[in-house]
Amino acid sequence: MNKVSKQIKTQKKVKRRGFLRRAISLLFTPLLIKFSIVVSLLLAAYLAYLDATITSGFDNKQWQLPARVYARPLELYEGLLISASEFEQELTDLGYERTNSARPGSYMRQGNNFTMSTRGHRFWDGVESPLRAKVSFSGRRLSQLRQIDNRSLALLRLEPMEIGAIYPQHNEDRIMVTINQAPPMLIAILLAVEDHRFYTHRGVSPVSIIRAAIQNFKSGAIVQGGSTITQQLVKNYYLTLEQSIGRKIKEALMALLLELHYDKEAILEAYINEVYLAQSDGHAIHGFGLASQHYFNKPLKELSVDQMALLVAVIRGPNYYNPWRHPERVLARRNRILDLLGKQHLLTLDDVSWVKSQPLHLGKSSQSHYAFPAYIDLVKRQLRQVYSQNDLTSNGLKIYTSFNPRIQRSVEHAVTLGVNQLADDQLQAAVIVTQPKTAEVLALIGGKKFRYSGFNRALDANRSVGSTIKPFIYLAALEQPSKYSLATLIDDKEITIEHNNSFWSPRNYDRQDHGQVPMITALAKSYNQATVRLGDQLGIETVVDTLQRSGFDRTINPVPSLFIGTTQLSPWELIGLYQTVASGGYHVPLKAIRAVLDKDNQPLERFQFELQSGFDPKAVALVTRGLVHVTEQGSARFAKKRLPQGFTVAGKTGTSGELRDSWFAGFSGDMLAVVWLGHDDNSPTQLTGASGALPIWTTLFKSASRKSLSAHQVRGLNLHWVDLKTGQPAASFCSTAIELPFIVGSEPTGEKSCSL
Amino acid sequence: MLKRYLVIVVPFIFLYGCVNNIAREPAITLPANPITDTEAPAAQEGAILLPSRTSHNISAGGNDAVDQLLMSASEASINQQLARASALIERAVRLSPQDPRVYFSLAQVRFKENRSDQAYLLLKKSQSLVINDLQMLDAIKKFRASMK
Repeated sequence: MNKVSKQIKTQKKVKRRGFLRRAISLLFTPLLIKFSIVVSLLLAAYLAYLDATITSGFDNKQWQLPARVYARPLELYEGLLISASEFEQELTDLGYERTNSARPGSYMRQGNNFTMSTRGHRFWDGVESPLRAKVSFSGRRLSQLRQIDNRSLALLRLEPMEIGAIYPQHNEDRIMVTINQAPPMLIAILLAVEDHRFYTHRGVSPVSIIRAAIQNFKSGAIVQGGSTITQQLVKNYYLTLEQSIGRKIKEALMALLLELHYDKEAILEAYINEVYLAQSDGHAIHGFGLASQHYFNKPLKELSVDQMALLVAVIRGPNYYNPWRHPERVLARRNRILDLLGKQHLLTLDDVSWVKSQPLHLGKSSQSHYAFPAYIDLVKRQLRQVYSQNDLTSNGLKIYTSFNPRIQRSVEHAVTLGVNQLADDQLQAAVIVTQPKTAEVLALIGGKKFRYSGFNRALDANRSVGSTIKPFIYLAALEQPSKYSLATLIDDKEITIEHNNSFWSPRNYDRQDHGQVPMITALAKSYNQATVRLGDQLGIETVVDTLQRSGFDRTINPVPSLFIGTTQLSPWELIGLYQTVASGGYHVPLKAIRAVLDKDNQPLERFQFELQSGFDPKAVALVTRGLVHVTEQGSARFAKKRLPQGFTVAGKTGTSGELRDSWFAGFSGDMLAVVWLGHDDNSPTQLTGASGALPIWTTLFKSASRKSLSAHQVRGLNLHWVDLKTGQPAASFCSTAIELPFIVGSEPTGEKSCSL
Repeated sequence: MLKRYLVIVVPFIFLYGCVNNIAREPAITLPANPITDTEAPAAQEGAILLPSRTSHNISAGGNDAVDQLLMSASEASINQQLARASALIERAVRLSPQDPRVYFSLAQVRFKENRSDQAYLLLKKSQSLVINDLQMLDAIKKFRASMK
């Protein structure tokens, strides 16, 4: 038995020796040598390919940066009409913190007195340095502005609030930060949690991989990753999310190559801008810079330790750790991270304990930053006249607009209130507000759902404008002072006009004839018959010319029904016409954008204040006086009842046929607004301009407008008392007398009298 | 701060008076301030002619702010930074759109930018806002004459 077994053992040894000998001899056969060379070459080529991919990708990485859109910066000066609470709201919108600290982006409030530290900002006309200032309010007025040491301060410009962005197609969004701009504590937390051997490994950390493997084996699931920050960056930059051995090997090779070419700081900087941290409104938020704004509404450099820990906490799963949806999850992870910081002596145990007691300190939901789609739509359209789509979505442009968040809030409040009161589910709304003199667009809504983008009624809904067109008929007349003044009598009896072999007989809204009426009354009461008669006297070409000189740039169908506004205009076009009146006779093109800066804050484009010749300011002053009369004694007298006593406004109601559209267009000293209400399917609304749009306009002006229309005198005009019934000179004590402006030489002559 | 600007601007006003009759490219100069009016004021070449405030053109507030912006614009204009001068004056327009001085100042910058059409319109706009301010009207008239 022993002999047999010995023989078997001997045979096995011989076989083993034979196998080894054959294997060794095979190794040196020409075929295998060739095969090895080929494999080595292929591997070298693959590495060269990976190397080229790494270097060209990293060197030429063009971060696609969306254009960022900013509201107007608030300019503070003594006399500014703003209340303490409105000012505080502006600071809140900018992410200022109410605290005893003096760090930039903070303020203290005691009653109507504020002490604040601004952040400073680089504008297109220079740098506004960070400053500490004291601001006091009295009622709705900024009463005192001083530097912190009580030196005088004439003007202080706050940084502008971001109101939106224009995204590239892949919808990535980020605010670039350099490694030096990132708070050192944030970097320390990041490395402590994600890769504490970052500065010692060469791209791959075998120790971390083994530790993670053991941990995962023990847990029976993948609970820990062994990827270094370099590997994570490689994965995000170059690879897919596929989980396979092949991809992991490729990732490791690329990480090694990346570290061969670039230093740790460059890799870390790329990582802090690349890491995916949130999803907002369909946009992927990458990098700590924007994530800080998204989660806390403040710049990265102003974050507290607990907030930095939260940012690092969400890296593992921005959706899973969404702090608004799952605050308990992210709080638990944040606190685990804080414990880790204590263990690594980045924080003292006392600090850990205190910071862990802090709530999440989230800002308001970031959706409020992107809450003005209709206004952003306007900005995009105006920019597309200058920039390509690629420039707009990829080059990090900074777009400075005239958007006024305070007025926008008032618009939204007024529309919500007004539309709810009208109890018509199908009713839609559009509102545009501009500055009367500069034609800057201050606020805009394109529908009653303010946060939804889509059909922008303010810009695109072409609707019959009704009587809002009438002031331009009267303007055409008042440009001829030898023939017309506000006191000129017009016959309001029924009228029939022949046009293209057909006859047209418009009637007044009340179906009454009012006889001979002064022009100011015909405008104020919106009499159709008198207005059509006036338009007929002037000639349709004259009226069309007036509309075109007021800024209307489409072809107008020259039909008589134009006199009562059957023409279809968008709210944008209508406010363009009124702008010419509100600005005193100069056509000033509407604009939403003030300036564009590139990503390095260099000015690219400034949209200058431009005037175009329009009308004699005297004729415009007369029309404005007529429009004031509309709001005092005419179809919009509701406005005078609701607005503060002595607050003068001018405007005109408009109602289209069968009550399909309800309009009001009007202005004060600091705001011009057009309000439209109607149904998208153009069905009747049962609303007139006075019952639908006017109350919304009035609510808006009551809350947002601060300057009454001044009784500004225009050279070449004189005031005279006339009888409203006869248009003849009257004594001031007559019950029907009114004091009206006249272009010198056009005033009525004759004896003063009072009509009975 | 305001005093510092006045120290800069007042000498310009003096200089303006001295060289007012010398034929040259119309300067963007500062018109007389009531305090220095009788002192034959003059302005440094390129400075913006800035008429004094009068009661009728004082708006609800911000006059020191407007003054500061116009003076900064004047400095920028002297340094041939016309885009900056224009931007600063436009800020002043936003703060005080009823003030004829802001349009007058902008007209001067536009003229320096060789945009005479805009300069004329802005002068006209400025003039339409002036009531009973002969000094301002005179400044506009002189500037318009110098543009020809």
